[in-house]
Parts: sequence; C-alpha cells; structure tokens
Amino acid sequence: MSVLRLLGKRVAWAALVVFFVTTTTFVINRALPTDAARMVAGPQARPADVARIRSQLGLDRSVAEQYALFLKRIVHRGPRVFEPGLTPEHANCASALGLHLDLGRSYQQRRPVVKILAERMPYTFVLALASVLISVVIGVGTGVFAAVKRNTAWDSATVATALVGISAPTFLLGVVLQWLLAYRLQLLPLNGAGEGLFGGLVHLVLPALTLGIFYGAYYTRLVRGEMIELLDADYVRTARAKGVSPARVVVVHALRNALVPIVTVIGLDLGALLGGAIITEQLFSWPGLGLLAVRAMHDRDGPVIVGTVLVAATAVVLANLVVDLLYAALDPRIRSR
Amino acid sequence: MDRRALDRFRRNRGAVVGLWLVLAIVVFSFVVPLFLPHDPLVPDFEHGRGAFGTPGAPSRLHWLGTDTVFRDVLARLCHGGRLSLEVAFVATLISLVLGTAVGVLAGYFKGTRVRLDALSDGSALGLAALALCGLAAGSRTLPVRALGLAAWLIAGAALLRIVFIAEGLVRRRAAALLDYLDGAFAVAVVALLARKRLAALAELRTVAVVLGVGVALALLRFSSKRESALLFPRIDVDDAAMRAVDVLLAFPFLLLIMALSAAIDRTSEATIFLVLGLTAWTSAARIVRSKALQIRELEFITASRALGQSTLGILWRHVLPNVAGVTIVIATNSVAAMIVAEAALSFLGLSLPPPAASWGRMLDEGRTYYAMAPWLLYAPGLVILFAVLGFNLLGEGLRDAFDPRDAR
Repeated sequence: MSVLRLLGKRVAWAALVVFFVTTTTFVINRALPTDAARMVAGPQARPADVARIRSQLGLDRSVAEQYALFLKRIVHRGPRVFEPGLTPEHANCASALGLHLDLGRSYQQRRPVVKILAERMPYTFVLALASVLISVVIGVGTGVFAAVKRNTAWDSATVATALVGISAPTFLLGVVLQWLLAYRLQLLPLNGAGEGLFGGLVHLVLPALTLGIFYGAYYTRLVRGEMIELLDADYVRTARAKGVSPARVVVVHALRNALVPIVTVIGLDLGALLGGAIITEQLFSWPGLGLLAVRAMHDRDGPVIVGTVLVAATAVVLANLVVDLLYAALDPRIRSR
Repeated sequence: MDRRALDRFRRNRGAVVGLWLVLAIVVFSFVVPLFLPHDPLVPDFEHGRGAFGTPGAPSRLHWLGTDTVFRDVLARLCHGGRLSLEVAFVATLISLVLGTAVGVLAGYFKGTRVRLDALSDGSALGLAALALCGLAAGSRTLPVRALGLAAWLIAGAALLRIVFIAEGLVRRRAAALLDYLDGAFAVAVVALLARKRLAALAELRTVAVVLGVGVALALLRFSSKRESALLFPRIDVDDAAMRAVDVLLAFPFLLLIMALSAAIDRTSEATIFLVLGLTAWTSAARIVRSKALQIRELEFITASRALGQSTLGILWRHVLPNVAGVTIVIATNSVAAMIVAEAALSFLGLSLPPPAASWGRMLDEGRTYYAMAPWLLYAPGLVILFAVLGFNLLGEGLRDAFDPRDAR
C-alpha cells in the first residue's frame, strides 16, 4: 500500500503546487502595467472597439469572476478534433484527449501562445539535454579524479578550478567562450540556431558548453564530496581487502552508491533547464523558452509571460515528482517513511 | 568565533584570499568613488574619444578607458559596485532574517501541530490581500485605490497573525489570546468580504453562498467543540513551513524575479532588493531548519528545559547562537548569489533604467564591442568574477572554520 499511497500523495501535492503557480501567474498578469484590451485591439483602435474587446475578454467584471474565467479558459473540455478557423472559441487551443489547453493569444505576435510555446520547446529541450550531458561528463570525471587523488596538488587544482567555475556566472563564462571560440579562433558560429543536423549541432555547442561547464563545476564539488565519504566507508575497505582491482572499487563500489544523491541534483537541474535557460539563450540568441520569456517581459506581453512561467514551473514540479519517485524506487528505506 | 576557529580560518589560504578580495571590492565600491575625478554619468567628449568616435582606450586620464558614450569606465565600475553590493547586502539581510526565523521555528517545533485554520487563514488572507494590492496598484480609479489600502492593512494583519502563531508556539499562554483574536478577525473579514460581494455583483446566489460560508465559519469558531480534530484539523508546523518553501521553489528563480520586476514597472533599488530578498529566503530556511533539528536533540536543551528555562529563552539563548555559524556562512554565500542575480537582471535590462551604472549592463553593452574595445568586456567581467569568487572563498573558509568535520 505504501508505494501507491506515496505516489498518490506526491502527485496530489504536485497538482496543488501547479495550481498555486497558476494563481500566482494570474496575479502577475493582472499586475502588469498594461491595458490588456488596448494591447489586443492595437494602438490605433477606436475607443468603442477597445470597450467591446474589454467586455469580450471579461476585463470589466470583478476580479473573482476574472480569476474563474482564467482558470476555466486554461483547461476546458472541447471537441477532440477541431478546425481553429471554423470554431473561433477554440482558436487558441491545443487539444489532447478532449481536453483543451488555452493560454490566450500573444499581443505582440498575434498568434496562440500554445503554438508559440510548442515551437520554442524543442530548442530548449535539446539545449537542456546537451548541457546536462556535458556537465555530467565534466562533473563526474573531475569529481572522481579529485577524490581519488585526494590531498594532492591535482586535487587542490581541481577544487580551485571548480570554485572559479561556479563563481563565473553563465553570462560571464558565455561571453568569454563566445569571444574565444567564435571570434578569436573562428571555430563556431557566434549565435543563433542553424539549419539541418550539422548546422544545428554546430550552433548548439557554445550555449551547451556554457551551461555544461557552469553546472559541471557544481557537480565536481558534489561528486568529490560524496566519493571521499564513500571511499572511506567500511564496505569499500572490505572490497579492497578482498583484492578487487582499484578501478573496479572506484567505479562499481563507490561511484555507484554516490550516484543516488547526484542523480537527484541532476534531475532537479534538468527540470530547471527545461523551463528555459534565460541568460544563456539571450546571450546566444538561442530561440528557446528563455529568449521568449525575456522578449515577453520587455514587451509586457502578458499571455506569453503567463505561458512561459507556467511551463517552467510545471517542468520543475514534474522533475521534483520524478526525482522523488525514483528515489523511493531506488532506496527502499524511504518508502517506509 | 572562538580561538581555534580563528586559527583554522587563518591557516586556510583560500579563506584569507577571499577575505582580502571582499575587502578590496568593498573599498573599491564605497571608498574609491570619493577620490575619482570623473562622474559616472557625464561623457568626456574631449579626452575620452578614440579614433573615429570609438570608445576611448585606457589612458593616463581614463585608467580603464571610456565606454560607447565616452563615460569613464572606472567610475562606472565603482558606482555599479556600490549598487551591486548595496542590493546584495540588503537582500541577504532580508532573506536571512526570514529564512532563519522560519527555519528555527520549523526545525525546533517539528512535530508540534498548530491549528490548520489559523495558519491557512493567515496565509490565505495574506495572499489574497497581496493580490488585491497588486491589482489596485495598476488601477487609477479611487474605489479600487481604497480597496488597495484596505488590502495592505489586511496583508499586515495576516502577517501579524502568523507572528501570533509563532508567539503562541513559544508562549503557551498567548495561545488563548490568539484564539479570541482569530475569531474576531475572521468575523470582521467575512463581513468585509460579504459587503464587497454585495456591492460588486447584485447576484442573490453568490451573496447567499458567501453569507452562508461566513456564518458557518463564525459558528464553527465559537462552537463549544473548539478542540475537535474534525472541525479544526491540525498541521505540523514543520510541514506547513516546508510546503510553503516547496511552492516558492517551484518557480524558476530568475523567471519569477523577472516577472515581478516587469509587473512592478518602475524599478528602483528598493524594488530589486525586496524582490530578491523575499524570494531567496527558502534555501536559508532549509539549511537552518536541518541545523535546528539537530540542536533540539542535544542534551543541554533538555537540561535547560528541566531547569525551567522558557521556550523563548531556549530559542534565544541556545538555539539561535548555535545556528549563528551556519547563518553567517549562508549569508556570505548568499551575498555572492545576490551579486550574480543583480548582474543577471541588469544584463537582461531589467534592473535600474539606463543612465545608472551597473555591472551586468556594462557587460551587456561591452559584449557587442569586444573586437573594438575589449576593455569594456574585461573590466566588468573581472570585477564580477573577483567579487563572486571573494565571497564564495570567504564562505567556504568560514564553513571550514566553524565546522571542521566538513573540511575535507
């Protein structure tokens, strides 16, 4: 019973958090210093048109009613198959299993927000995966290296480098990498996203490397700490005494057990990255969710802000959920709690 | 800091370097501007111009060169540093006070259950009132403004309410007073809400529902079965606090700050450190909580309780001093994080508006000119790196000094 109950509890809690987040986005959207009706109607619309749109959007009603409308609009039931042009009330929807998701229409781009988000998501997804991959390679490699060479010059050099790595924010590291690899050495394109497989990969390198090095430096410290603790553990000494080869002791006995907390952190970071790496995307003009969010903030484009915040927060909540459940699956002690 | 900790700190080369870096950055931001001949906002067309109107290279007059509109880079760096450090220090202070309070209460009182209705009332009212404040801030009409004022009052009262709960935890006698206040407060709020609803929509059904709920709530509060678990579910203090932390942590930090500063519109230094401080206390709360959990199991706490020390006294005399070490370490690391956050905001153009100098924006402006005027890039870049590195090193050194078991 305990696993099912745990699952139910965690899922219910995740749903509740998403609801809180949705409420907060409503508040933020309402607090934006722009008139939504004017933004929809356009700068040259007549006052009568603005008033008509205001009543269409429900902006002339009380706040409580608007909130109810907002929630109802975001998720509602609708026809499973529909033609956006023919059914104007579902023009901004994305549908799945008879449920519609409607985040409204962007003021700036004049298109449904769900469409815009769907276009941007693959870029953010690829960038997140690539940078997590790079950071894990860097972090686990150097972390294990430093732990094995503990208290030598190699170790202190690695620790010092990792500290500089986490002290250089991504906008600093990114600018330096851009200057070095794209401007001085002319190895990679400066920014943007390329066409085709090769172009895409070449453009991906710089942003992924920036994020990868930054997170990698964190993982180095984490892996080193965990490994040092485990290399001193009794069962590792037993394995050594038994005559297991040193490499096997490090990789199979120690690293495997160190992985549980590390995987947790990586999972959470992946969740955060899936919401869009704002600064890195801005720096390299990578057309993901982060760049979209920054544009929307500057334009005060309410629906897009709400959409990006919702997607990012949902990604974090889902990552938390998956990590929690994985943890329970991996470590039997937690299940009984 | 006792003698041995001081010794450990002094022998740690990284920590000493960090301390010097921090001192250097503080002097650079707060003292150096007093002796600089240049104004950070005034362009020097005469001496600061390079060939063909490019930014002026470093010279005897402008030690670090000038930027794209010929303002002295060194002066702008100093002033940016002042902004950055001020924001970082105040935001850290806010987040530290909040985080320590929540963390100590949650950790020390884990297992103690308070009435859910009291807690949820407080937070729900606070949230609703804050929402109203936000809405009213965007409106021009007088009644909505008045509503906004009322909302601020309610938000303050809700805050007071949560303080009362904390008070009730540490002083049992206050708990009874709390209940009466709670009841009076709830009736007043329900009445207020009912009136508002009545005015806003003359819809009979809604009014009936609101009134019904209000009457039911009031009856419940004054019913004789005050302690009945069904009517008043109780929740673990620790659970409540940590769930709140969870919700806040679900928001991507930078995105939340960006959205808030976009919503606030007129950005000033105060809004930046308020937004940063009020969103960043969660990690401090988590760390302090785990420390408080350890401390409350120690024997001297039991001993002082047996000797008749009050709960408040135990918290003040024994728990707080023992989390102080952790708190100082968190504070140092938090300053580094806040410097980065402020620089990130201004890098994205969401900090103070343009003429003001700030490190992030200087970096952003400089990066388009790195072929022509590299000093525009490395000056802010190095300063940010040194400042963050300094506070990080200092934080590590302090942690190793306070808690040698972690010094691996």
